Amino acid sequence: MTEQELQHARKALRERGEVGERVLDELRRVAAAAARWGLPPALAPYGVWNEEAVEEIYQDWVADRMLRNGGLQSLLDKARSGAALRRMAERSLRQHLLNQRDRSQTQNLYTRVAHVLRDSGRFIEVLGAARQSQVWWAIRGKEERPEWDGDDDGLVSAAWSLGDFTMIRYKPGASKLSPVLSADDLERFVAGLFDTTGSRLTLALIARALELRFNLGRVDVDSLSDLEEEPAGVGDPVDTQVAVAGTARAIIAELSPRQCEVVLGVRGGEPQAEIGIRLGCSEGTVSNELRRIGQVVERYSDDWDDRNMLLRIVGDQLYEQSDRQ
Amino acid sequence: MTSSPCPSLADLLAHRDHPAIHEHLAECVRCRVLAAGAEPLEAGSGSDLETGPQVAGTLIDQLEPGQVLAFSFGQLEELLVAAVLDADAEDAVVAPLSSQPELAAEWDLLLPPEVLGYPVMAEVWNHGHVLVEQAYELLATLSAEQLGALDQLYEAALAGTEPPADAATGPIAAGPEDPRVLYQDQERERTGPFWQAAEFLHQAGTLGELVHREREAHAVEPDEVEDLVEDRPGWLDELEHDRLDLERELPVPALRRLMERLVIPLHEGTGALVRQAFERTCFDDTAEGLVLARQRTGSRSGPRRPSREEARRRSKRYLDKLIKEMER
Repeated sequence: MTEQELQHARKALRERGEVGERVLDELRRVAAAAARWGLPPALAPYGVWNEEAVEEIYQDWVADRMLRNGGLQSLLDKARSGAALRRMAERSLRQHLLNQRDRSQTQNLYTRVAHVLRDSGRFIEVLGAARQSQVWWAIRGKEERPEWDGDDDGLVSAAWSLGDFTMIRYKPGASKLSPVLSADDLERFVAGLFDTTGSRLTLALIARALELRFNLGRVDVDSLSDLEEEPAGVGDPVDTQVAVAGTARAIIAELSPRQCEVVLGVRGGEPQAEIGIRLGCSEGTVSNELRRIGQVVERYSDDWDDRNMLLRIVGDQLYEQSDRQ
Repeated sequence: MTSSPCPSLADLLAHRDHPAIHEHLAECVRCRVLAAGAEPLEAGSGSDLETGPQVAGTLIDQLEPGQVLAFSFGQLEELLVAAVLDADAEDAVVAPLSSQPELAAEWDLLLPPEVLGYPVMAEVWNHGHVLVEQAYELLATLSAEQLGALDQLYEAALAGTEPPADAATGPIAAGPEDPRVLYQDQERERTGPFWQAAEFLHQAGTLGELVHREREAHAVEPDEVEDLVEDRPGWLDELEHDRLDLERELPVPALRRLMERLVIPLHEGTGALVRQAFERTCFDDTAEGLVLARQRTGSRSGPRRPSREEARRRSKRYLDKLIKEMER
């Protein structure tokens, strides 16, 4: 698409709500290419990328994110060339699939919060209620604290103050996957929320804090008793290897060129200061990039072994194509 | 490391032999990994990679607080969507808009989907200067109420006070560990290039000063470039003193060759300098010879100037020609 065609497309959508065939063709091309080589099988609707799966995610992405939520208008407002539109659309598609995965299985997270409250020994039920989601809990030894009576802003503010957490979208190599916080992170989140608010909390309030902090969809916490966590499946070892390699490639697709260079530097034992000099940025920027790389990799792993394995494979794939050999 | 943005997978897999992609692959290990082992995709309706963005000329003459516009910079393929906080004839202070309002902190004003068709936040903390030349397209205008809220938040940020209690902002950022602070770093990096044109203009002063400074920096002697304009001795000295009538005495191809020789990039910042220099020295057609002669000889009777609109129209025409020359 030329710059002029983009200007027309932008105007047609904003003023008349029209989306031209040309724009839809571009989005379809993006979905087909990304599914073919830039997305792991676990994000496919039925665990494998074929024409049917591509069509399904294309339709869903366009209807839900591009049209219903104004995503296409946002892309068109920012794109000045066809190449830029496709680049931004690919990011949007990836984000959409990751969020879909979160939303469809978010209930598991709340089930696990209920288990943490009940089983960890750190919390105590202080005030019963007819519904499980409305029972008041407190940190053991701090039962005298009042019930939380703040608003959503206060709750999400407290949630943000707890620092970084990474949502795990799925485990590499698994065929049935859940978005979760790692067990340690989940308990840190729950305990931190009790401490920061200085209050008693209900499961519904904790769920609300999770929704707001991690941008999750609304869930019906009253149906929790029907839910069991879905175990991660274990595939054939060869399939698993292929899936892990695909996951590593999907991670690289999410990284920027500078982040890839940082991975290569760290893999080669280069100090952060020297990486910064080589890349023409500060040591602080390198440190921030490492944090972002960590966030991307951790999204695909639920423990240190997974994380380290993926980082190693990502580093190896980059090294094989680098000038360092 | 590559300086060009990575292509989408659709372009990478369908146009691997296109010169632009080929050049990018030579510099980018990320894209080499993604391209390795992949079967080429069918190119579909053909490549539009040749038709990248053009350097925009002046499209919008005046900016006003409350306007929401897309801004360009040079040949960047992505535009900056931002709300105007303050403006004068030359430049404006704007707050970038982000389409990730879920990451709003206390200096991000939340704006509803009614404004642009999707929810956004105005990053008041990330405000910066753009030139009027960078205004690419008017997208929307804030209501008086929204502009009032934006203005209050901006004033509070400038005064170093707390955000207004009733402002529709996100929760307060909780220190360096808060992931929204990391996002703010990314946003600073994304928006940084768009401030360069105004910074450039403020540092350069005038076109004459810029040419003089760059000529000295590249150790280019006047006689090395004097012959770019035939039969007009002394033109370079007059240009460097902002006295040369660009329209009549500096043909566009000569200015293009001078800029190339001195490695002066063409973007909205240099475009504004050219336009200012042009308008400063342009005169009415009918008075031309006499007026210029009078000016050079120090006569008191001043030259007749064209109207502001006429000067602007002619300077835009000159600039458009320069843009076309540079794109050849």
